[in-house]
Amino acid sequence: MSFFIQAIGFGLVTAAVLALAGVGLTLQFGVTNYANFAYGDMMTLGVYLTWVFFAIAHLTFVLALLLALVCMAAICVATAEVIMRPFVLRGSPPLILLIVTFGVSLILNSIILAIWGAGSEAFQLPGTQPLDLGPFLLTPLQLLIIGTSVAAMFVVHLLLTRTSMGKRMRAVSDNRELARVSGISPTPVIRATWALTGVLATLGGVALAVDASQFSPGLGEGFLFAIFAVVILGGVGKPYGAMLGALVVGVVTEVIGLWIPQYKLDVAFVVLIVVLLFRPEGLIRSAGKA
Amino acid sequence: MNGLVAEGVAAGYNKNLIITDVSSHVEVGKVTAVVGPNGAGKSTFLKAVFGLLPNMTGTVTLDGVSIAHLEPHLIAKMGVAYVPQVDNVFPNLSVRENLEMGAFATQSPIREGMESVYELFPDLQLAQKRPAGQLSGGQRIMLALGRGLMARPKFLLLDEPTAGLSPSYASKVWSLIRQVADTSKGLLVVEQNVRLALAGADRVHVVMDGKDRVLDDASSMTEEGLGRIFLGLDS
Repeated sequence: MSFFIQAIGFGLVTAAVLALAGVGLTLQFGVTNYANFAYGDMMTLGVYLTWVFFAIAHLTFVLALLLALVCMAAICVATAEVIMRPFVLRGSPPLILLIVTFGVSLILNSIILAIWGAGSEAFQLPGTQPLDLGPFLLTPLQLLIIGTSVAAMFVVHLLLTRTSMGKRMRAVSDNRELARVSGISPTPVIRATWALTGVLATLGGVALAVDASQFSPGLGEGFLFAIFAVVILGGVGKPYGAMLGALVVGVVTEVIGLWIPQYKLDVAFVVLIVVLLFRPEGLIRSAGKA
Repeated sequence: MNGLVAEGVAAGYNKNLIITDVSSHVEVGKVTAVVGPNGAGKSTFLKAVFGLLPNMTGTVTLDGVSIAHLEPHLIAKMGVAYVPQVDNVFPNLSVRENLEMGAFATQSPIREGMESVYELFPDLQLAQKRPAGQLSGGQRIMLALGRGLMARPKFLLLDEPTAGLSPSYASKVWSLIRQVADTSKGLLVVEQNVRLALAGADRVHVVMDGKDRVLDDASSMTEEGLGRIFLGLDS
């Protein structure tokens, strides 16, 4: 029984990582209307940038992370502008755009390999001694990951519901044609969305690297399919759905992982298939079609 | 010429032209109804005027200034609002947020705009926190109209605002159209229901097979006369 509860604790940590990454992926998917398979590599690049600022430039961890967030926001916007936008303007269908993101994935991954090599690195942060928290046994770092994720989700919520840009993002995601008709120019909204994607990908990536205590160039890519499971489970383009999806996938994979640890991430897809059989729209029902 | 004027508009989807030569106009305070059989190109005409069809040719002017070939969001900024027939609300945004989005084009004051929209459509005020996707068909068209009005446009283009509504709700929509026109706005309304168009509009514009047939004062037309035109009995 205690193992079971313990697994739920780890599940919450995994859910926190998945929520950070999943919300970033689903927001962009909803606004731009195509899936981004380079997302895992964007996470990894964010991790390496944080690591460079922290371990090589010797900045504090928080400052290193903040700098990496800014850099990744800029890199994601630049990637979207330089590589994706010409295809979008040409009217390429989502499938073609998806394949282009595969290309971006290869490019980013090769850059990471070329600069930092294929070996593993670590942040070597303090706070890895587990604390006894009632039924749970979690390290201060894992608690920090959960706290960061909850705080980030709250900030995303405020952004989407209280700011003009956030509301415009939801409007474009909901009904792009009507947004255009309402005088909402899609370009600034798409740029802001890519910047937010870069920030959330980096936060998710760093949380994943810290939780795993080491990272290599394959970090984000290996995790990408679990993130997609979270996004589809929650309903594409629905940030609150992704948060709920993260919770379900995080807890279920860790609990099932008690018995079959080697198939932990595959369990995400079993959950996905079972849920979609009964709720094809995902966990969160849409308010309805326009 | 003052008002919203379209001349010799041809447009369609990809290479297929749906309308080949349609001209219409509407002044402030007036309602022009565009009627015609299914597939005549009424909605296509409205979309072309609002810059939604890239292959459009012809001229469109707003108080003498050309707006042809402008992007829809720029036309919206110049004081023209377009309310599509379908997909005309943001389903996952609340009623209130839908209205806010309407004000975005012209950066119109939101509070005042909402007050006047709620005055016209009291039902919306009661539902202001609900997602638009949960509204009834009638409430939804009210919201769509309200969104259009939030930008304080001089001209409104409405694509079949009564489609799918009960007869009593449809008449209600037309009395609202009249009320809106009386606040010195011009409305170009595509309408399937000839009876409603004749009763509610100042001018009726018949489009058939992508071309103009008649454009005249509503008072000088009769249902029977329009029926004969639709059936091809009058040339």
